[in-house]
Amino acid sequence: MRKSGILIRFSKTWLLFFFIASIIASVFGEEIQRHDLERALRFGFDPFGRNCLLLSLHAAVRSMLEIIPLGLSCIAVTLALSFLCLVRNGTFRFFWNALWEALYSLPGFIMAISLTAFFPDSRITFPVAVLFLLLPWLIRFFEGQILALMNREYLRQSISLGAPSLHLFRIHILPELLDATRAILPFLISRLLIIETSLTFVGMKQPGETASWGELLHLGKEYLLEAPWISFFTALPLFLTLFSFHLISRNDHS
Amino acid sequence: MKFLLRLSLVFSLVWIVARGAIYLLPGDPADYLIQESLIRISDDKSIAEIHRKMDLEKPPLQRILSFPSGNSLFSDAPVKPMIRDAFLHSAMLAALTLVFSFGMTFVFLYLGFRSERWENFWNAVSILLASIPVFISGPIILFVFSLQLDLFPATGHPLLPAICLALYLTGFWFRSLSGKIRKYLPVSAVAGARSRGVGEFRVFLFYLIAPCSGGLIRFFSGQIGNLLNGSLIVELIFKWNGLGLLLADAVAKRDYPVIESGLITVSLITLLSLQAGIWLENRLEPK
Repeated sequence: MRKSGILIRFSKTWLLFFFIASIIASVFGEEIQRHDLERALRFGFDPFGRNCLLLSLHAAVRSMLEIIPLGLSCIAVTLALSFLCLVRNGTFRFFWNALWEALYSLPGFIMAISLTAFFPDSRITFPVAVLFLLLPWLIRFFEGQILALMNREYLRQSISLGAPSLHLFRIHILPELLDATRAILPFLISRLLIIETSLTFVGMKQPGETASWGELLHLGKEYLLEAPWISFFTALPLFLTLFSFHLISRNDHS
Repeated sequence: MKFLLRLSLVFSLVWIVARGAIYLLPGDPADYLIQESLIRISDDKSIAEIHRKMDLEKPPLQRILSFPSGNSLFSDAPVKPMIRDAFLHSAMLAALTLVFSFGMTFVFLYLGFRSERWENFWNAVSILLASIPVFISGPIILFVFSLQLDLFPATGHPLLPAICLALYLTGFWFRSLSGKIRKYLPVSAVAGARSRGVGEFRVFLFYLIAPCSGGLIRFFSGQIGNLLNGSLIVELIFKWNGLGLLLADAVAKRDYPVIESGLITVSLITLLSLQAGIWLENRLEPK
C-alpha cells in the first residue's frame, strides 16, 4: 500500500512537471524549429540538427492537444449512442450486440490504416480512425454501466410506472455515465495516446510543422544505429507518461 | 442458428464496406490511381486495364457482391498466394506470440494467486508492461538484441517480434484476467480445496482456471483482433512478411485488390475466432 502510494505520487509529480516543461519548451523554445545541419546526428540531435529533447517535449504538447478534442468528441458520440442501449426490442438488441461485439473484436487498427487508401485526406481519416478504434470499447463500457444501473430498484420501479426512456436517460443514467467517464479518464487518455502515436508511427497522418511522438519514434527507428538517442528521448517520456496514467487509473479503479 | 446469423450479418457488412469503399474515391478510381500512385500509365487502354483489374467495368452492385479480383495492380501477381503466404507468416508470428503471452500471463496469474503481496507486485509489472507499446519496445529490442548483441537477425526472424508483442499483450491480458478471476474467487471452491491440503498448482488449475475456462476462451478468442493490430506494427518494425506488412504496403501503393482481399481475410479470421470462442463458452458454461 505504501509502495503504491509512492508510485502514485511519483506519477502525479511526473505528469505535472513534464507537462509544465513541455508547455514552457513549446512557448519559449524557438530552438525547436531550428534546423542546423552542422550538429546533425550529434548526441542529442536528430538528422536535421534539431534538439531531440525539445522536440520530444513539444511533441507531448502536440499529441495532448490533438487527443483532447478527439477524446471529448468520442465521449460525446458514445453518450449519444448509449441512449440506444435502453431499447428493449429483442431483434434490435440482437443486431446491436452483434455489431458492437464484432467491431470490438475486429482488428480496428488494420481497418483504420486501410481507410487511408479510400479517404486520402488525413484531416478526415485520422479522427474517423480514432473514433473507429475507441468507440466499440467505450460503447461496451457504457453498456455495462447501463446494465448495472438498470438493476437498481428505483430505476426498475420508474420503468414499471411507465417513465419514458429519454427521461430515465437524462435524469438518472447520464449523470452516472458522466461520473463513470471521469473515473476512466486517465485510462482513456493513455489509450488515446497509444492510438494517436501508433497511427502517426505508421505514417497515417500527414506530417505537421512540428513532429508528434509517433513521427519522432518513426524517425528514431530509421536512425536506430546512427542516433539511438532519438528513440530514447522520445520513448522514455512517453513510457513514463503512459505508466503514470495507467497507475493513476488503477489507483482510481481500486 | 444464432451463431450463423450473427457471423453472416457482420461478415456481409465488412464485405460490403471492403468492396464498396472504392466508390467513395473522388472521380474515376483509375484516374485517381494514376495521379496518386506509382502506376506509370495514362492512355485509355491502360485505364480500361485498371478498370478490368479492379472489376470496375461491372455495375456497382454486381462488383460489391462478387469476389475480389485475382491479381495485384502493381506486380500483376495473383493475390491469393500473396495472401496465403502472408497469412502463414502472420499465423507463425501469432502462434509464437500466443505461446509467450499465454505462458507469461498464466505464470503471473499463478504467482499472484499464491499471495496478495505477490499479486500487487505482478499487478505493478503488468502495468509496466502495458505502458510499453510495441512502437517503444520494438526499436529497443531491435537495438539491443540485434544491433548491439547480434543475437538475432534484424529482419526475417519471428522471435524478436513475437517477444515484443507478447510483452505488451501480457500486460493487458494479466490485468483483464486477474479482474475476471478475482470476481470468480469468492464463489469457487478454492478455500475448501486449500483446507483439504490440495497443492497450490492443482487448486489454481482445477478450482479456479478450469471452472471459468469458458470465459477465458471467449476472452482469448476476442483478442485475435488485438493480436493482428499489434502484429501490424511489429511487422513494420521487423520487416516480417505477414498480413499487416502486406496490407500496409498495399495501402501505401493503393493496391486495391490486395487491400480488399486482405481486409476480408483478416475480418473473416477475427470473426470466426470470436464466434468459435462464443460457441465454446456456451458449450463449457451453458447458461
